[in-house]
Amino acid sequence: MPHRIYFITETEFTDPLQHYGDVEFVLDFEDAAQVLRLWRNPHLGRSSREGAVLSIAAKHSVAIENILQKIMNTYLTPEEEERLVNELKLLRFMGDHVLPDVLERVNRNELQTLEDILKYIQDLLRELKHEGTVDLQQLADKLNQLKDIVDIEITDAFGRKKRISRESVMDLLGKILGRYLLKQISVAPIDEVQKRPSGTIRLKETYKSAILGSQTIPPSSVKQEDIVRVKKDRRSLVYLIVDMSQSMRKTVFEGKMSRLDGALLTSLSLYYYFKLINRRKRKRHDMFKLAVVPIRKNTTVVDDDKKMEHLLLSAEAKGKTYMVQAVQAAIEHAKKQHTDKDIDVQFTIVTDGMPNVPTLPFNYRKSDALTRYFSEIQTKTKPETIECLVQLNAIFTSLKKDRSRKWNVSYFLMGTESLRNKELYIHTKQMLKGITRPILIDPAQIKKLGEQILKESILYA
Amino acid sequence: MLKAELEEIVEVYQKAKADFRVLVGSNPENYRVLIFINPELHVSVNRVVEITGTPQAILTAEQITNLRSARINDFLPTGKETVYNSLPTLIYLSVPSYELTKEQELTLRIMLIHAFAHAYMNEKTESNSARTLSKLYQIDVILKELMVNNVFKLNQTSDNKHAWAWQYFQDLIGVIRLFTEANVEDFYTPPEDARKYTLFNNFSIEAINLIGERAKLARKKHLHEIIDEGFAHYIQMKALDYLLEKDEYKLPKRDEDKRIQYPNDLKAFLAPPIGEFTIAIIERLLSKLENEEELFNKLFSYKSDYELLEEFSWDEVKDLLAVNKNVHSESVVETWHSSKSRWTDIWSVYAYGWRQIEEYTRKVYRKKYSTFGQLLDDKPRINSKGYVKVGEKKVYVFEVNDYGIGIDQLVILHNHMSLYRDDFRTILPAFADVVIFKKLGGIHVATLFAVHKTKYQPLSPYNLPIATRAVQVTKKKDAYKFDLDDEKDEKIDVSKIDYTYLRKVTQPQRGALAYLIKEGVYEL
Repeated sequence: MPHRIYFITETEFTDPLQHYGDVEFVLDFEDAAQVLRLWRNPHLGRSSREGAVLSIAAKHSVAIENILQKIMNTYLTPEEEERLVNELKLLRFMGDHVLPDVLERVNRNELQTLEDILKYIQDLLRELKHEGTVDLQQLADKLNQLKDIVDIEITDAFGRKKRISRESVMDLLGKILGRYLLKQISVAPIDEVQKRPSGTIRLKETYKSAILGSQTIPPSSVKQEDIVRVKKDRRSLVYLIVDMSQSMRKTVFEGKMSRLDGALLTSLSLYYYFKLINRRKRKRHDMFKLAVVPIRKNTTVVDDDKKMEHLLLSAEAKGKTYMVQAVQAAIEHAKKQHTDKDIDVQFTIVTDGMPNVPTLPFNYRKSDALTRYFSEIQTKTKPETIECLVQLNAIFTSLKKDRSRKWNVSYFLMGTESLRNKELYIHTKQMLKGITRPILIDPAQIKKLGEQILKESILYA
Repeated sequence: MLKAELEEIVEVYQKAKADFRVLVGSNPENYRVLIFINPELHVSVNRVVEITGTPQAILTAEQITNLRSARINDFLPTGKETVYNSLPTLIYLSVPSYELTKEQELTLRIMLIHAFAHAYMNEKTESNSARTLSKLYQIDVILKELMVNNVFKLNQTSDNKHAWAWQYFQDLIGVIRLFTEANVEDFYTPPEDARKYTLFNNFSIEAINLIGERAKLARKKHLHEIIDEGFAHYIQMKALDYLLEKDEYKLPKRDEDKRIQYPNDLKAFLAPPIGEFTIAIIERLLSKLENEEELFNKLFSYKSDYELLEEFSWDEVKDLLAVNKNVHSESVVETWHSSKSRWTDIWSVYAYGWRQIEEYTRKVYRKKYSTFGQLLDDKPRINSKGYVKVGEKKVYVFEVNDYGIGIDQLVILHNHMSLYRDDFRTILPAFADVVIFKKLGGIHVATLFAVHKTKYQPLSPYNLPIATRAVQVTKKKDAYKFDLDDEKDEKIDVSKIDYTYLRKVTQPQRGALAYLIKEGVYEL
């Protein structure tokens, strides 16, 4: 029989080792808050730790089987062979000695923290060290795998369980929340002007140009050169200035999530939203960069993963509202970061109250009108709060006047509709006069906060 | 176009075909060669065949996770060709580079001849092995389609997306396959008339029937490993001699002992013990016969390995094993491994391979096993040990000797365990709990999977109030003495536990069981 050649693609012949069940892990916002709390305060059940020991043991057994086959069946370079032999010894030792002991101690609740477990295993591994054949550095690396034992087990909306290592909790949560936001925002209505983070497209003009180009109605295709943009793409630095004062401790739903949890998760989701967007557009510069500025006594600007993680783990709702200081820190940070004209700066402030710690010395020119307003009305608001509002107004006004770049401010107030008659809202509105208007957000809707911030301030500003 | 690039490979293929004709007399007709451009895919298929016996079988999520992790660590064997001994014979190869060096050409030629030998055997043999494997392959393809379609349908018809369905169906097929093959009948199958209630029931019934059929077939399959490999290795050896004699390829010789240095990629064919042993046994058989033709006819006429081994006395077989193992131990490490490695480190791996062969031949010879089912029953991969009654509740006990079942897969066991309820209409279970004994490396462990009563309507089979606990099975005296939880009142009354339905459980296992029930099955 003559031979025939057919070609089969990978869609027709799929990799048998793909995870069929590997659909997106679905977490509700409340579940995310639960994970965050677990992460911040790890008090983990024994059963999860026991399960982790078993899955490591199973993984090792499968690895050993395969290494044996590999040594017999595959040509190996001396280095590769040495690595495999060492791995084999190590895995066997762990399976025969380390893991059984760890399991027993976990049963007995003797090993509760990561440090306990690592120290215990270190001691056990000395035995192996005496044989003198295994690279110690490799051993140390291998040990990190055992950190799984104190992982967090989370359950998604369908009850599927996933164990995530403590290091990747932020990444997992962030990706889930960020992707969620991406989905929300991409379904936003499209009108004549389509705004995208990469720039604004004029649909009608684009359409017209496409018709002219292809000579048919509707146009057979829209080419790249047909697309008419409103303006040149600009880059943006976004500062999310989040309240972390005592009042944020209030719970949003019955006994569950606090305002702080909500604010932290929102920060995380926005942080990842922009990370994901930037990853999608393969541009030389990130179009957007988001930094979080927590409003607390020692103001720092959170602008990388490590700081973000630290913030999530350590944030507490306590103390006064150091908003003026936070805004100043953001300004300083923005000025230091980029001198490029093309970069806009967006301040998004989320708070549930008024600032109450003025800063000294203060060099901006205060608004006479606002000072007069406060001196003329009868109010219970404390003088330091008024001073703060005046300072904030002065800072924002001077930013607006800055010709070197565009500064945008949006201001979110957490509270129900009834707040509109309260001094908090009226004063804030007065303070923001000529700059922006405060946007009320219902704390019960805190899971939509990220979406709202995106829609009302950053993307459609 | 790739066709042009594959030209050299096709050329070698034609050469190999001609070689085979010269060596054996005629060519196999019924085979397919699948060449993978992405070698990773080939490695995956190779692993699936190794684990489940067929290339299209569905793995459990646990198996996939562990294999993927091994793949990331670069622990998976590569470079071997994979032959699935069905009719048509399926030959899987990773593509060598398009332009072949002389060495690569030789390697490929030998690989193809080896594979043709398998194909030839499959066409000629009297055993049912090849035909059974093709049926198994078909069933596996049907099962895969069935699963994909049902997941799709389930997600299409329901309001809330059943994101769990993929994994659940995958695990269901993987776990029940294991059960059925091992002849454990204790698990629940929905009655035939449950079909109409839910898509899920319909799928389970359909899948379980198919798996049942598959298991029956698989169990009847003749054991044919030694004959298959023996014939292929014998032909391959002849081919190597033939090609090197022709002087078409010039292989370098080692400095020390002037032995030929074979191409590196032939290691998979020349180094492992299976080749050493089977060639030896075939040659021994040949020495008893007139000529090669008689040998081939004899090999084709055997239905199973037992008939081949029977030609010799047990002492003869033992001798063959011992002598060849010795010879192998003297040469293999220096021929195929780096001089930097310690001899004991490497030889222990081969010794493990020999041990497996010894065990297999001993079983087949001494116990006269001729089918796969008999071999499975000798050391079942899953084994029912009855159940423990805790008040009204049953806790089923198993011993599992397979890496396919991890904690996630216990949901399947749990759901299909003795669900003898007439009103079973939902995809959700009655509540029988499971204890599994399992050996993982040096740990002999008992795992409990207990489900408490739900107060809510669960969204998926995974969304249950579950307690999983694990403890070692050990002979240590004080092993289960510790008692940690403070809430004593929640614990069950020990006198309510009834062990009478438990069978073949060792004393340490019993201790572990009692501990787990005490710690995990409360709030009844």
